Amino acid sequence: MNPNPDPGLPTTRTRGADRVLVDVVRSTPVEVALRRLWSRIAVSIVLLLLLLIVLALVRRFTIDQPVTYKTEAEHFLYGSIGSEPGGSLLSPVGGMLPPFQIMAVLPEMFPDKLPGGYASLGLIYENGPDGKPRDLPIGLSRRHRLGMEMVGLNCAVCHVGTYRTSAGTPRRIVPGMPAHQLDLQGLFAFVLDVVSDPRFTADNVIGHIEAKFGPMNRFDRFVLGTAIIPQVQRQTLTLRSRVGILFQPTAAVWGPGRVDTFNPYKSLQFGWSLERLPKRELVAASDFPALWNQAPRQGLNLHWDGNNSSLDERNLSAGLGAGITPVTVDRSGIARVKSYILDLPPPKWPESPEMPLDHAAAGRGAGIFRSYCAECHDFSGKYIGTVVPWEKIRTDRARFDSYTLEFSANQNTLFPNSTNRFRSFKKTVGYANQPLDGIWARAPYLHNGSVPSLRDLLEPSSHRPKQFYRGCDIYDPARVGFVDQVAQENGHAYFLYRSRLEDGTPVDGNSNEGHEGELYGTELSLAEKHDLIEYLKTL
Amino acid sequence: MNPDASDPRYWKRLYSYTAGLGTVLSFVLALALMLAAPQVLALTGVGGLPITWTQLCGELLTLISIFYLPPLLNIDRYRPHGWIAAVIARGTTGLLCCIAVLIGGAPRLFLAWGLVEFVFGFAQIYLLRRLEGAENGRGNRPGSEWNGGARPSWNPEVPRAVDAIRVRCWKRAYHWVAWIGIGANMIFVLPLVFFPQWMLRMLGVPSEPVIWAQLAGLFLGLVSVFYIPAIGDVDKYRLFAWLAIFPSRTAGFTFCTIAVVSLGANEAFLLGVLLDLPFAFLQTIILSRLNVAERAFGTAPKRPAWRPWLRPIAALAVAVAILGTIGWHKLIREYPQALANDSVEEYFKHGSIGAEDAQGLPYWLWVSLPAAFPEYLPKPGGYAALGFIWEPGSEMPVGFTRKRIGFDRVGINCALCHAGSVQIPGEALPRCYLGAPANTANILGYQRFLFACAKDPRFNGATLMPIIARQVRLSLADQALYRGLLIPATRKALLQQAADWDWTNDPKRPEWGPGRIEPFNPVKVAILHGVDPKVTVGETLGTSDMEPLWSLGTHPGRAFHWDGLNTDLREVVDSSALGDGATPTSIPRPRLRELEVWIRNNPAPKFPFPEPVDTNLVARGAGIYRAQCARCHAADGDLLGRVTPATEIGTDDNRAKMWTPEAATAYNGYLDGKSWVFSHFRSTGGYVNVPLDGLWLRAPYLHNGSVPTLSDILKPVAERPTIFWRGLNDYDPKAVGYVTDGPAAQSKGFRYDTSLRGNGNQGHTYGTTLPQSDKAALLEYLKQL
Repeated sequence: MNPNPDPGLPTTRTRGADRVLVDVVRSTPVEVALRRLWSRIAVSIVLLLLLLIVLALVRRFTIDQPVTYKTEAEHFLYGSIGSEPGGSLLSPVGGMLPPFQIMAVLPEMFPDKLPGGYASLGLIYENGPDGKPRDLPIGLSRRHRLGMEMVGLNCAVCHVGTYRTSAGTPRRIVPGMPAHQLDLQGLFAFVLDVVSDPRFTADNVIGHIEAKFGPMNRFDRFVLGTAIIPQVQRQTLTLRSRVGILFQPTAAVWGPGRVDTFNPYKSLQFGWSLERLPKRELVAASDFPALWNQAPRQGLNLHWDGNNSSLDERNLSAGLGAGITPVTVDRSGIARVKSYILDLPPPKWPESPEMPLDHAAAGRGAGIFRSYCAECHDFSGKYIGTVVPWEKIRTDRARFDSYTLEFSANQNTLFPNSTNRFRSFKKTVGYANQPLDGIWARAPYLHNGSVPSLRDLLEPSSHRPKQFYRGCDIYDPARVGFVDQVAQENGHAYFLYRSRLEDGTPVDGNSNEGHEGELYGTELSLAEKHDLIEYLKTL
Repeated sequence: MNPDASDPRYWKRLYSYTAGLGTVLSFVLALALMLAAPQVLALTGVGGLPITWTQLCGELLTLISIFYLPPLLNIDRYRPHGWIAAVIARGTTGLLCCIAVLIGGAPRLFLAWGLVEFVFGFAQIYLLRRLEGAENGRGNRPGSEWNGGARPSWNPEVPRAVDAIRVRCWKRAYHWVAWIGIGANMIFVLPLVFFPQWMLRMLGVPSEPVIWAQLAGLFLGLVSVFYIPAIGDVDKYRLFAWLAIFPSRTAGFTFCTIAVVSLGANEAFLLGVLLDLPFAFLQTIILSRLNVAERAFGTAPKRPAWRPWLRPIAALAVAVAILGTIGWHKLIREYPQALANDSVEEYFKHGSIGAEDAQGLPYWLWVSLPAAFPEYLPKPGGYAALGFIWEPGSEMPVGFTRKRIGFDRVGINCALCHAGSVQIPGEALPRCYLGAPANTANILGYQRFLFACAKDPRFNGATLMPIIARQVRLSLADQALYRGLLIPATRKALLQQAADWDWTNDPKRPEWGPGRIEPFNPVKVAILHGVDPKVTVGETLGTSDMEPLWSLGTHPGRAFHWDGLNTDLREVVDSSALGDGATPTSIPRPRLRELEVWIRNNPAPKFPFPEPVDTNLVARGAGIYRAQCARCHAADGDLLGRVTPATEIGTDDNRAKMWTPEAATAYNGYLDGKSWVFSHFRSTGGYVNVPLDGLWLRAPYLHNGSVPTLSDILKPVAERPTIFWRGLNDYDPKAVGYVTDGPAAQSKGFRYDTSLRGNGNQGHTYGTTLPQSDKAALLEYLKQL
């Protein structure tokens, strides 16, 4: 009957092909049509707005944006290399530290566990360009990920050191210098410890955050309390279940300036249960190396044991240690760091009345260096960057023993499906000859930092100190190393490094033997040692 | 044709040719960018990361090229579009390219692109101007129709007023929605073109070089400009109104969805869906309602009626085609393997022997299992903990293969059992000897690890996907594939295999331990039982060492396998591949022939220890060897390669008895009807007298590996070690064999007990009564073989 029935117009009826209007019209067709049109447009707009809101939320939780810095130098100190937790919102990966706001209030929440705050662990706080102290110390980066301000570690945390010429003078901060003052194990142990403390509750954390950063909006508080804080707790407890064995009180102590490079990595990247590894494999702390002047190091065997000759793989691998994963890595961030450290000059000996340098002696020492050290330690030396078999060098073997053949094999699976897949890692049995640029700033010496000064290194191991204090950044220009007999300063206790216990028992991983004998200069005359030391200061 | 410059038709034709050429070029470039972006970027040397920006440029340029078409065909009707194409599209693209290169430092090639755009832009402008000049000269310029020339006349007083009002309402709605749509586009266009760095930071997506993002922004703007005339006159330019929906908006959200879901692009590209989908939806509704209203009003053009059944069928066909293509691409399509190099050694180490089709593990699953279930491995160390040889820099251990058949799969090949590892003192890394019997590989351990994982209730997407996500960012489609199909299917297959392998858990059977395998009982289960149901594992026991794969062609007529169950090397190679999991259809027989040539000629490695060789002693040993061993073992011995009955040789007879005549018959019949068959399988009841080349590398000795060293095999049975530890790669050059005792061996090795069934170390007592000095001389000679 009706060729074009339209349920939308109930009050209109037409008849026949010519559509003559026959019924009463309660509202005009124009009104009906307009009403319907506008209601549809309104619904569409509401839908569109809803979609926009959803999108804004999605973007908030999926956007991945680092805090960026203009100069390469500042990026090195504070920029992100992707080590913040990231990946998927539901199961984040990577990262070692809690989000920024939580991280910031932990010392205030647990003053008993960390009196003195993060600075007491040797983390270096600077003032920002605005003259105010920065939120985070050197080596901690910020990045917006998973809807939060996340904190990550970058290269600078372990590779920026400080020194003072005397107790009263201000400290100098040297980029690229081993962070000999940093207690990294202490930092991790603190974070792993506090999350299981009964005081670590959502309310308490939020309270401290609001006290510190001001009130937050309802939505943020809701997200923080119901999602983020429980998630951080879960993640950190998982982390603890995997690497806790390295941070519990009975674990081998790294002490300031040292890190167990590969053992956390075994568990975090490959899921190995560390409990099943031989105990001695878990004792492998070694000093942070210097990170300057990397351009001429390309192609040398890098890491203490020379297990890789590719600078890029070494950088990426170190990044894994800082908490990046193959999916959260920030390649451009790492590339910036690389371009910075390639040509970062080693620090010159800061000659002054407090830091004297005997130029005449240094001139004589150059000859001794050429005949004794240059073959292995000069950039032009025949053996620079090669791995010396352990039978020859005889320094503590724990470090290369912890880098096992199985581990190097598993590293080949990292960064899969890309040109960056690790291809150059190899097991070695010995230690690589390191170039000595800026050696004065790389104390204590040997890979495990068992010899406090260069002067001590020129003595046979029987004459090297069996116990000394690490972590103090006052420089001792005579012995060329840091002051090592001061137990505490202003209430801050320094770490007693023990190669042997009082009864003479050797401490695993801490041996100060090796790199000794006629070839290594420990039998030079006193005058010659003095000359050589003065020369080494100039490198 | 007649070049009459005053004839508009002349200029029209010229315009069509020129613009046509330009359009074809744009199309080619656009399709290349969209569909083959990686190849284009590689070919031109222009970078593009992430590639999505480049593909997006291609997609948008395709749309623009489509918009070039109507004015090409009917420049009278689509005159505004002709001008837009010439001035705005060509002009701004050229400008952006040139500026980006000259100021922004974009790759030089874009300058060429920009210039080409300019050339076509100017040519088209010139031609259009000449055309209009000619038209003005003749006074028939069609542009006078612009602005409502085609607007239908209607009379509000007639009863059809309702329909007329509706037409008007829908037109107004179209007008507004389309303008809002253009405005929405501009939210992306303007910042992307003028402040690309800022915009990319806002989006959280980088673009390297930035020009790809800029171009994508510009193209989006150009596409939008083409929408404008249709808004001004939706009657005249109805074609463009529909083009704006399909393909334009449709392609936009389809592209973004595909890019994010299955190509792994950044989620920010989903903004494209949000941008295009609502407008496509709204505009479709409005235009179709407009159409309905117009039909009621009587102004709509007549359209051929669709047959009602055609639409569902067409939709179904399209859906089947799309799903079929995706399914083929993601599950079945076979890709050639990318090996590190073309050498036969590399193929031997990591080349596919066809085991991935039926038995390949999904790659990301394989990578993640050791991290997910480390407790099922004998010790920490991932797959390396199972004693597989893992060369520095290699993605997987020797003997493992990776091949993409739909998805990346991991299989095994010959080298898993036929590559040995020797740690020479003083060397940092163990040496890998290809072709040597595997001495450290724990084959059953690997199987049991996989079975244990599958039996664990945590073998599911919830456990495994987060571990995979640590290694790689899979696209949403691949995540769904893994979660929904590959993980459950793999689990099911492994559980089935675990049931098939249940007999290996029989406590009455000895453990295989490293370097040993049951070579044929799994074949009985997997293949032969199906040919002849009487062939079963039953009580038979065949645990034995691996054999070396070298110089197999130097002794024609010799029998292969410990018991000589086949005399044809071709059949031995093919059947071994089938035993490793290849199927008669997946087995790459031509490649296996290359491998066969290699194992025929590959020489045995020489004794590597640089100890002084006592030539006198070796010479004396050679004499003893001639007298005592040569008849069975030397190249000229008349018994070499023949089978000696187990009763005569006296060694453990389980292995010989395992291969029954029924099994041999079944295997010979397995491939009946195929172009290639097996015919040389037989049951012998004894053991082959094997050549002794590379003997130093074949420890432990006897077929079941029951005698640790060569010096032990020269001892009477009673003096041979009854307990020793296998699986080390440290070598004892004095005793000639791997280290099998001492603290290291006891802590790391597998305890081998000769008193267990199948592990007997009796028999082959030849030479055991020689005087000690003769034995020393013989040993010195045997090392050099």
